[in-house]
Amino acid sequence: MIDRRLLTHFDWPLLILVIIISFIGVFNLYSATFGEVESHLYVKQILWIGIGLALAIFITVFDYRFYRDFAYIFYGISLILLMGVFIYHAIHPEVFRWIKIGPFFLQPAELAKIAIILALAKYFDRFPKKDGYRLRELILPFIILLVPSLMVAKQPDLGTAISLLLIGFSIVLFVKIKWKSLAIMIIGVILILPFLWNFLMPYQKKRVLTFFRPELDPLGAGYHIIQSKIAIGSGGILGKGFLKGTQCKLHFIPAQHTDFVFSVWAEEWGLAGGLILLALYLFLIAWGANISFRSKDRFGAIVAFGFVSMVFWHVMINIGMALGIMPVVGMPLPFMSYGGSAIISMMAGVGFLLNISMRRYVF
Amino acid sequence: MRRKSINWTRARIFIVFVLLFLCFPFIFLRIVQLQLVKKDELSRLASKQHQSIITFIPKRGTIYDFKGNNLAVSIDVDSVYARSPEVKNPSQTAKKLANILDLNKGALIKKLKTKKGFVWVKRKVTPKQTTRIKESGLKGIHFVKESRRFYPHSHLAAHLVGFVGIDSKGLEGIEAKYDGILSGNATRLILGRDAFGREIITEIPIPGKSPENYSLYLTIDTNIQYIVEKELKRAVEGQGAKKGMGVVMDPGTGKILAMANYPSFNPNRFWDTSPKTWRNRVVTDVFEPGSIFKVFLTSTALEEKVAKRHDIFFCENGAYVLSGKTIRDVKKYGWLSLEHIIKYSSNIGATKIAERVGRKKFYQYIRGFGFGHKTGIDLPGEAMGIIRRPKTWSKVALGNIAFGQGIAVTSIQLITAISAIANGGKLLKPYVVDRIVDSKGKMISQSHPVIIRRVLSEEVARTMTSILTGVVREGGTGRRAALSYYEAAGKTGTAQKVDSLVGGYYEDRFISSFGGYVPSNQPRLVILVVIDEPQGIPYGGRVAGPVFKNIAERSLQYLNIPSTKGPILAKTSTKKTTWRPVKKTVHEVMHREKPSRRMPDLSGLSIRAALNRVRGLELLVAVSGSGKVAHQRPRPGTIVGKGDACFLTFRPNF
Repeated sequence: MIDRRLLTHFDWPLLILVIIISFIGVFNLYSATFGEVESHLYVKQILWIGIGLALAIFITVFDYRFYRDFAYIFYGISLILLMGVFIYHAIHPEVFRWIKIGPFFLQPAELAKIAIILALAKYFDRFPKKDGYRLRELILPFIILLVPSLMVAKQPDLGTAISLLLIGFSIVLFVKIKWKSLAIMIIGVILILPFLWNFLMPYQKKRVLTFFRPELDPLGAGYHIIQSKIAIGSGGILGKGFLKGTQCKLHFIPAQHTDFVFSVWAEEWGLAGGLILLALYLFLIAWGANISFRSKDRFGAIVAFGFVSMVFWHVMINIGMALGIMPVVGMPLPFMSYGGSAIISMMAGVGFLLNISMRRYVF
Repeated sequence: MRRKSINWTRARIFIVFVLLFLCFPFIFLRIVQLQLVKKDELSRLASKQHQSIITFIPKRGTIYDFKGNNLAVSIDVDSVYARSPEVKNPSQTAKKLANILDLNKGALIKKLKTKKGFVWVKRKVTPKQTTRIKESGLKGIHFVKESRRFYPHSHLAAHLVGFVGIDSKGLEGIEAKYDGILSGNATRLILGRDAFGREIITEIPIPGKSPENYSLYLTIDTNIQYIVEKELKRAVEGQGAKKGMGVVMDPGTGKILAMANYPSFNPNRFWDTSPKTWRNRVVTDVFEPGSIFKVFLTSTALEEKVAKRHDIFFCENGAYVLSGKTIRDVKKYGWLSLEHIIKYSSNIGATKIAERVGRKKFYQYIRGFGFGHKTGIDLPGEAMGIIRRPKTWSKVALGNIAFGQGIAVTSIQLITAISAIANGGKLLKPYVVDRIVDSKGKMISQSHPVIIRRVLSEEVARTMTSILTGVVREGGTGRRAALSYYEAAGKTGTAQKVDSLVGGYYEDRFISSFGGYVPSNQPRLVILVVIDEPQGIPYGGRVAGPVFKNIAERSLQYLNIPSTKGPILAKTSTKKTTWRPVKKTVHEVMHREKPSRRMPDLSGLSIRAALNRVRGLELLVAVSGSGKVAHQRPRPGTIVGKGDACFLTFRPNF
């Protein structure tokens, strides 16, 4: 449980950093939706951030090792919820990706991120391998990873599925895999890609294709990339100013309050704003890495790493997508994009990082 | 064991994070690339995407002649544009349009295939073309009323009036000089366009001080202009000359009554002729005036009292050697009086007078007559002429200048200077715009004669008139310029053209001129005729004199000025020149002058289209919302007056 000693070690810089980025996010969201029907979205976002922060603080109350005991149970629940998505979709065909529990809409895929991190951490903590894991020892972790990933991809939510896989593979790399096994795995992935390709929805295929040749279809699939680049580029060095982004205000930026918030930000605040935001993320990731680095045990290190990699991949892929150097896959920008589930899962991650950070001196 | 494992973990953490952080430079470089390197390109794309500056062709004011005849009017014509997404079959559509509008088919297909939404197909088409396009029922092809400049008399006073470009900006003549006054400035609209193609007004420029377009009344009299152009054309064509100029000025005020260049052009289709033809050479081109310049030398001599009218000079029997160069006369003369030197146009005599006047005085008077300065006429592109400093004049040069070689002047300078003699010695500023009125006909400004300086005393001016009257009388070089019923005064000029390649003069290329005024005792008209490179006998009296005579005679008759010589004229006996506008043009002009005063039905129109529709009604339009017209006040069909309020509410439609 929590005591005075833990409070003195509370990781204020991490919390403040997250609050700063969230504040920028709200500020940016206000501009992105200004004068629109959904102009009140920033208020809802503040609410989500509040709930998320409360959850993060709540997570810090118990020693993180306590969560280790429930990791598989939690994982099981998230699988059931993912299953629930398909059932819910069958009942309400217009709804994808969501389920409604009581008054709340829930995106189980977000929950799956946390569940996978905890479950993998528990597995690798229980079976440490100093010389690295062989492929056959990784079969169970792969099953832990692939089952929810495929379910999420089937929803269809390619972005989240990819982020789940990236987080999982990052953790596998982190706990050390034998070079031979890694080589086999990479070859395996390459072999499996054509199969995965068929698994993709037509619109997803188109997106990936247009990533390589956006000018093929400037008004169709390539539209997002081109418009985002135009918005960012026209921002210039200092940007067009708050509420003055023409591309955003005139709706040229696609999904400007969710996936393409970075374009809105970079248009209005320019290179300066873009780099500041990037620096904040870099700082957050470095700080998280430091927590993982200094964690007093293996479980903590893996969990911390898992959440840091989650932030890392989201930032990389989201900003990379806005800049036109990554394919357009729906992946929110942590703490910036509008969306309750994404905010809450990110904040939960922050809770775990805070938890591990403040307990690094406790033996 | 646990410690060891943690150490091991730390090493891995470090390696993995280093790998991860290596990704950041890519993001960083990409941001810099987009926002720093490709900034301009992307910004251009951005503004192209959402901003379309739609410039309504402003309805320009009318240009009238002195009596209120239309010289340039604005009429509403259709412009054709396409909403490319609506075009069903671009190549088929392009083929039909290209056929009707005489356009390049390939370029048109390209235009129609763009996803821009709005593309001009052709602006300002003829009513016939509009009907044909409408009949062909093409999808996605629309019309918008724009204002087009129309010159009802085509060639008449083309150089003076000038013309406007496709964007209705004045390019030449009065249209260019008075562009700001004619066009007004409240007609540009910047429309924003969002990602769904809906129009939103982002900026309506606030009208400046002159929101209204003003109309101009020129000093030109269309009848006299017509006479000048007709006579000029006849002369230039008859003499096989290259080109010609004719100017008529009111000596009392400086008003230009006619100003013509030949060959002329049709300002309605100015693009058919070369830009060289558009130049109003009367003000823009300089030439060596020749003997006509002796007038100013003589005036100087009389005014400075270095010679008197009857003083005699020895004219060296036709050849006068000065510093090794020989000055020649056409005929051999012995002793001639000053008066006869002018009458017979003796170069040697003029040289002798110049020697007596001296370089400094002569130069002072040349400048005094306005040569070497701009006259200040309200036309664009006026030249100053070339007068070298007197210090550089050699003896030969002084002699040459005496008979108008070795200096360069414009026709407008020449006629203004002659006018100063005609009006008793005052140099006036010539002008072509008499008054500016607003659209309701209210006077905005009125031009008044401006006296620049007095160059001659009235007495000397009177003497000069008397001498110049002699030129036109029997035996003078200008006898062919003599009028039957009026006494005229004037001087001939025949100048060798400068060979700018070799540096000397052409032996066989001349500029022949005649400048003078009628009636000589009380001048009403100053007339200058310049014929460039006439074939055959080049003498000014022979080439330009008759043109002067015809212009003067017909103009005076037109002006009902009583004859000053010969029998009292029975006016009915002479055929009066009447100028009649072409029937069709009257029709078109009439059509424009009677716009419907009823409020049109605007529902469902875009902002631009709606504003276009009510523009002619001159309403005060208040616009709210964006999208298409959802509500309008006054209701369709209501009779509206100028300046009535009109409220338009727009809503986006899906």
